[in-house]
Amino acid sequence: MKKINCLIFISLIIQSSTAQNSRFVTEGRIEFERKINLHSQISGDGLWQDEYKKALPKFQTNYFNLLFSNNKTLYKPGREVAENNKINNWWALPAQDNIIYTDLDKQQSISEKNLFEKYFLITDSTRKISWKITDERKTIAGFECRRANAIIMDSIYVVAFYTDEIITPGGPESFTGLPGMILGVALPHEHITWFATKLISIPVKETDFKIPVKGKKMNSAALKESLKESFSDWGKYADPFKKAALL
Amino acid sequence: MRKLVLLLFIIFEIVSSAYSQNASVKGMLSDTIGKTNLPNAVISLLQAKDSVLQKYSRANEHGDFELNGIAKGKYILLITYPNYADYTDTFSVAENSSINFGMISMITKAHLLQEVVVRQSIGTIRLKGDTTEYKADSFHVPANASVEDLLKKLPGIQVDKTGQITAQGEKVQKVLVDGEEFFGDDPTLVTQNIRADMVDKVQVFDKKSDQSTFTGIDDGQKTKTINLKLKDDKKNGYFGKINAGGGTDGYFDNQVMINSFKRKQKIAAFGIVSNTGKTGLGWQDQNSMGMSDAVTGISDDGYMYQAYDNDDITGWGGRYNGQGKPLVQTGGLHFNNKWNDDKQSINLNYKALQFMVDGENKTNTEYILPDTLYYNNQTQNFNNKILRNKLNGTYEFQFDSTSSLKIVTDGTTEHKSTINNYITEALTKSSTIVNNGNRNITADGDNNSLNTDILWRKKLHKKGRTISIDVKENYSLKTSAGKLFSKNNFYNSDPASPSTQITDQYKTSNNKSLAFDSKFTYTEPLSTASSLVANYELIVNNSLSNRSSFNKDANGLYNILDSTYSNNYTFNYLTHKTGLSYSFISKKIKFNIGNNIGFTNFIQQDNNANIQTNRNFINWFPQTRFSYSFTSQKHLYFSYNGNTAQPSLQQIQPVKTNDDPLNIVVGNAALKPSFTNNINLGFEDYKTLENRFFYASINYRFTENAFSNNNNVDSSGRRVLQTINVNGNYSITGYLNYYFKIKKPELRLGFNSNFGIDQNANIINGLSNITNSNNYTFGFNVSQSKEKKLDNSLRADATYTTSTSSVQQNITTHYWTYTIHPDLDFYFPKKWHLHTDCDFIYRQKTSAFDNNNNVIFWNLWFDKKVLKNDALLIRVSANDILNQNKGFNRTVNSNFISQNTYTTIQRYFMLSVIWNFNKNNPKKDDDWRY
Repeated sequence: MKKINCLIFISLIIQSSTAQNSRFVTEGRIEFERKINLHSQISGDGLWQDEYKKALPKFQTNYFNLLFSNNKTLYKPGREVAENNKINNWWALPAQDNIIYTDLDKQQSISEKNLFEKYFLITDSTRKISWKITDERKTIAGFECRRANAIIMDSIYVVAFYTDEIITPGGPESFTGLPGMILGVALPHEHITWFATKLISIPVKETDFKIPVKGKKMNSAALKESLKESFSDWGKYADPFKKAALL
Repeated sequence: MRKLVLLLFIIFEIVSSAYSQNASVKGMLSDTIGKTNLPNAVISLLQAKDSVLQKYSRANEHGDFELNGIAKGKYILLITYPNYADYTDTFSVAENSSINFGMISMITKAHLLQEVVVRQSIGTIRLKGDTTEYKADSFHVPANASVEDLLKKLPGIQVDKTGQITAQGEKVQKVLVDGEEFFGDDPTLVTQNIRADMVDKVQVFDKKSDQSTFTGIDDGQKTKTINLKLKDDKKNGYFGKINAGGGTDGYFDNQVMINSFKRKQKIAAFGIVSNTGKTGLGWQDQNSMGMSDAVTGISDDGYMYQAYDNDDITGWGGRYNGQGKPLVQTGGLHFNNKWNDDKQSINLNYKALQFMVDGENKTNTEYILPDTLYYNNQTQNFNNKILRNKLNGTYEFQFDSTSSLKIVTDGTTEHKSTINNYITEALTKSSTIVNNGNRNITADGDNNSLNTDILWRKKLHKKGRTISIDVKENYSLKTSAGKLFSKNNFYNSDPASPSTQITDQYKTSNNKSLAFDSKFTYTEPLSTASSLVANYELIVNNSLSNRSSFNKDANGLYNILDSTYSNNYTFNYLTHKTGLSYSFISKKIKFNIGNNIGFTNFIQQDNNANIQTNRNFINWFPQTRFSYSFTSQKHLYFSYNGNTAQPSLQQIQPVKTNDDPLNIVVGNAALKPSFTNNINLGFEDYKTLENRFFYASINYRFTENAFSNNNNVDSSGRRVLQTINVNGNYSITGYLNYYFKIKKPELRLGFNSNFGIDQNANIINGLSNITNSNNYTFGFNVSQSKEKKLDNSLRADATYTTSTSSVQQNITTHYWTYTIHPDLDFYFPKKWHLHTDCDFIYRQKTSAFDNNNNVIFWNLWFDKKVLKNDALLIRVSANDILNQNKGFNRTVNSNFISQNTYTTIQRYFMLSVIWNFNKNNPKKDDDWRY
């Protein structure tokens, strides 16, 4: 509790300092809270599905840390939630604990993805997203953010909120490309959200960026091809798996 | 080649367009008041037609900015700086041009929050605790209006032009839709949208912080929140299926099913009239209709289970198990509804079934006795009928987020009529006759039962601390009456003039039992990962069995009570059971250990002789479970549990039963509870992407005071048997499965192997006997599936079975059984489909069973889907084309080795028409992922 108070205090300092002096943040650590609606992933309707909904909590929460400094970011799983160990989810999707290093200058990212306990190291250029900028605002973790919308992977609708008070143009997972840090992402139709809970202003050294190394090396196109082969006779049941793995 | 040309073209396009993207924009920023430069301000260049971000840059320390490499077109310049108003300008860029905006002055945000004047309209507003609730329908909005339009109409809520919502003077931080955050879709990007007319209620409240929701301690942090409660499924509709099938040899299969839904209320009905073995709805239909014979639930481990109630009585259970030719007429009604925000729900089912079955069943048994061998051959002709009515219901009430009540109840009435004829003979080893005879039993029975389970659960203030009370009631009344006529000839003393025994009796049986089982459970969390569960259970089970046999008097009336085969007996037992268990759950380890101790008191009373026996037992119920997850796909698990089983009233009632005078069953009032130890060890490794699966498990169970038989077979071939407690019974079973996929050709291959090693002790003519029976199976399967083309598989397995009884070690039974099962589906153009499957079964003869039991059981059908949405399916099918199907069963786990063959459904050809209809069906059953 003391720790939490302390963090709130720190983030208040950051807030007030940015508000008064328009001080821009160039390094630090952001904690993201990911929420997945487990009930929405249960497909179909019937007795069994009803029973499953009663046994599963509606939302699963996980935490991730985004370390950033100038034009480099490292996104990886954060603190554990003990409650999640009790969840037995038959519908669990792959690639839920990605480690992603992004060099925003070079527009390159290296992602370590765990797909059904097989690790892949995906090196590729960052995803080109056509963001539509809107006038809508939202305050996230004390920062005023502006909303942008986009469609990725042909069908996934993305709502993102970014702040220009953080110079690093990064974000959680593979979401980048906005003029500032993305502090909130929602995939409303996939029922997943990532929202920053706090920014911790700490000095970040070059050596703090531990570039992921684990897994079979390939690029996104090769991963897509490899998934297509693995799920060749699965039919449409594999669609959610493929989508999650390639996000 | 075409691809290459295309690629070159694309490259050329990119390069050429890159060449033309050489316009630039620059400028300088300053603050009008402070006259300071604004370093790090964001300069974004948006495409004018759709606001899509094209380029952005940040101003340098002097406030200068420059954007290069711009293609010609119309743009919006958007400049933002914290706490300053946005600067926007629309402009056009020509090729190779350079635009200089010069000095741009930025203005700090003026306090200009433009509040929308809200027109007061009369609508329904309710205050529920801290929540203000608006009934959406009572506020008029135009058709297709957005949620924002609706919110603007609500008194006390304002929406400004940027979309910011203010409620009761405070900024709304969160808008939820049925509890999930709502962002409002961009209609230019997505078609799905929440419209105002989909909203049922708008609730405005202060949401406590997650921390305080988690700890239950209010930390004072609140956020103004709006929750949009959507209307229940807007659509009302129905779906259903009609299946009409007529075949050769009088076979038919007709089925009707309809399911109508209106919001959360569902009413369904079905009817089946069939003589092809179908006795109820298939699993998928049951699941989608929400009606099931089974209790469906989720175990602590997350596995789905289904528990079927077993209401079989001695003799015939009233269900179809493949024996004989059936005729089924059944129908049912289902109703379910949820209301009060889904906090209350009710599920009611009524089913009626009339089932008739007749056929022939041949049993050949080898009696291995210490000094000799008998062969017993029996032919049974049966003709059974049952009428069953069953009503069941479930009511659930979630009082609040912490407590709930669930009541499950069912009532059944059954009326059964059975006619059974037996012709029997017993032969010696050298095929001379020992006895022969025939037997006729005609009986009518009524079974009534009523079961109720009431479960109340409450979460207490501390997270993880819970209490629950579960009270179960089971009542059953079974009455039956019937006639037994049996005539047996015994040739052992003098083959030329056999002695004859005739039994001609009228029998009644009255069986009543009432049981209550109340359990109190308390869970105390020790940490986030571990908890302690304490429970106390009281089981009261009272049962009464009154069996009477009457012989004929001089007038030919069954009036003389035969006391040997009559008894009135009460068996009551009471158990107090209490125990503790500890469980630990982490990411890799799941562990649980506990023990219960039960104090059981038996009161057994022979009501005719007025003898009462009182016995006390202490029973233990130890259990442990451990599982280790190497990864989420690779697990090792171990479990042990010790279980006590009480003897049944039938086993304990000290009466002789002569339903078969050649096999007299005697009850044993001295039976003790049995105790079974069960040990399981398993390992599984699933590689999803490689499509590889490995599974191995071994189970060892051994029983103390196991229920077995004491047999006495006399020289005339008559057997008297009694249930006794024995030690030394065990069984070991093991499974090994390995499946994988190969790429070329694309095939899935699988190997499986299992074994069973059984030891069963019994007593035969005063000597203790141990029968060791083992079986070993090796199997192989291969399958290939191509979506919408084919779905083929081939399965083959071989099983070797052995059995030896210690009373005559020189007699061993051993044989092989082989099965090959191809199963092929081909999908042709124009929605034609061909299915064929076949069972090639080879059953090796043994010295005792030397008749041919090999079978080729071959089925085939052709179907075609027609009409819009494939609504109609026409199918021509052939069942058992070669007319070889045969019911078959062998039992080798004691010194009585038997083989059983029976009448079953054989060859017929059928034409079926299946019509699927639906209106507004919101769901597709085949969407279910597993």
